Amino acid sequence: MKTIKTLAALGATAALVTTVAANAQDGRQLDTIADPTRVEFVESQQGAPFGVADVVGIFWDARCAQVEYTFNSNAGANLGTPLEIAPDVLAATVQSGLDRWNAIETSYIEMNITNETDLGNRPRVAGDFINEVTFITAPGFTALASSPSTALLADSTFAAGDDLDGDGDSDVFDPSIEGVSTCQDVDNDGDIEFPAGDYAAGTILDNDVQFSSAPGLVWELNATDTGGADVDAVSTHEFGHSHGHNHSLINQISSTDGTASTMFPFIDTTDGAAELGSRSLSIDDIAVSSYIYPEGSAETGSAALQDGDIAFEDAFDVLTGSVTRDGGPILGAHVSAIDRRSGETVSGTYSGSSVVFIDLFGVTPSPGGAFAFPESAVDGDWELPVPKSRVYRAAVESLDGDPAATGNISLNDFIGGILGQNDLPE
Amino acid sequence: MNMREWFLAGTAVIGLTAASASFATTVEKEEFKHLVQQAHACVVAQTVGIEHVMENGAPVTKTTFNVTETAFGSTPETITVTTPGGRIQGAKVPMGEVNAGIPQFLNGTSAVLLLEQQANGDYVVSGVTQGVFDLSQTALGYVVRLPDSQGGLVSLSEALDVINDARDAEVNETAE
Repeated sequence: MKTIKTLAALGATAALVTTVAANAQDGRQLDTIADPTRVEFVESQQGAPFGVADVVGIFWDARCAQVEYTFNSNAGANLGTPLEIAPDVLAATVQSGLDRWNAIETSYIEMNITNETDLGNRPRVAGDFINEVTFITAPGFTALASSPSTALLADSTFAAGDDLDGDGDSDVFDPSIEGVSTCQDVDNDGDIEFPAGDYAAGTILDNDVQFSSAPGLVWELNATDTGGADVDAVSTHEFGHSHGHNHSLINQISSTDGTASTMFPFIDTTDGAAELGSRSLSIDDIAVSSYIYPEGSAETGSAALQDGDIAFEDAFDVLTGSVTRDGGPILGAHVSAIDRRSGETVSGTYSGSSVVFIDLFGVTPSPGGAFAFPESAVDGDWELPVPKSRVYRAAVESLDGDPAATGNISLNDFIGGILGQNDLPE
Repeated sequence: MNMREWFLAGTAVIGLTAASASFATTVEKEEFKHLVQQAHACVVAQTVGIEHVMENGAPVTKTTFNVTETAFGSTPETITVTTPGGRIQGAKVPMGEVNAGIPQFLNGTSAVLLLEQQANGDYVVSGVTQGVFDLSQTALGYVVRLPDSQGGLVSLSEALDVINDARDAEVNETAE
């Protein structure tokens, strides 16, 4: 590894280092609290014992990275109006966005709609191992769309015959018997089964993408300025979450390019050009997917190089560093890489890793509760994939609400907010 | 330019009765004032309990808060805020549902909350995540992280003033 630059920025320091190493944990992943794995005596709490729960990023295991979705053909969009869109048309539109994600040559994950089935006139079901795409939402659903993922909360070993979700149906198969070693519907019962083996906390087991069926909302196939929501733009964004990606803070690539990252948390439905821009993946989107699912990172399986693939390490470098203040780690600082020549912000990430303390011993007024203490900030490290053969400068800013706040990004960053760390000067 | 924006990825479960209001996650250019105006109440509250339950086939998190101060609106001293996601009950392996851009709360933390009330009495955060403003204790007292456009890091009393000013602005505009 070679240090190329040290940045001192108004109290925050970020040391940049190039490396070609990559792994599956990154500041750009959605995250969750894993089950506690150890006990520590917490100094800031007068030495009281707490369970320590890691905050882990969510991701698809390589065995399950060919993700199959079922489109619920029970309902289309804009029902009962002249603008009604048939389910098969919606499914094709959603697939076109997936095709864009799938076309990333440096990322091995693929997502496809493999079934169009009438799953009934009901909202999606969590954790049933049917990766569902639906235009039916529960009453009170007020967002345009969402992409909830069911993730494993502890390192686990799945044995053949295990019933993971408790529905009476086996969800795990023996690869040596079935002759396959990837997640798929081996018994043709409509849900996905998992090959027996070890799975890490944070593994995504199920993902659904739901598009609002709220009355009055207009979905459209061609992006317009009229306030209708462009199916393709919204879908492309949501399936970024399906990959496990959190929101990007890049809302303008450069002073001459107002395009936002697809994963920017807001879309302007009265700006058709902006919606079209959201359909197209930015370097930031491509880099994140490639970093989490790097092509060429295995010799066999989906992560192995195949025709048309490009090895992640042949296309990207990874800048690394740490954001600290007064020697202490900072969680949730946004770090972005700006191409010195073009002025384009090419990619961004968020700093730090964290833990949550669980009151396992009734030492607080909230037994069983989950707490963030100063010790929750483990480090301020960050890793940022960038295209090779360019020169970059780094920028650091807080998640201060403009354009997005900590809670809009991830739990790790939210903890930084709780600890009062989101006040770095930009 | 009319900059109506939709908040993506939130699965807020705001109970609403009117179709127009059901798009409560729409974010206007004047988003802060819009957030304040659509809220039924604004409180300073501390998390005292977190529970995960299943509703409509999916987990939701019910977070109980003790209300320590009210900027506007009327709430009980203890309120429950519902957010999508959380631990899935009844599974044989530990599983939880993760949603992007959804408010999350930890025990013992305090925040300024802009709230809307559902029909069942529970509350949801206005604007999904945007109606939560972290409250931190510093050597200088309690400080609130408002958006930079609203003053950034300010004292609690200043934050409540900013919020009430935004609410009053609506009243004034309506009167005009």
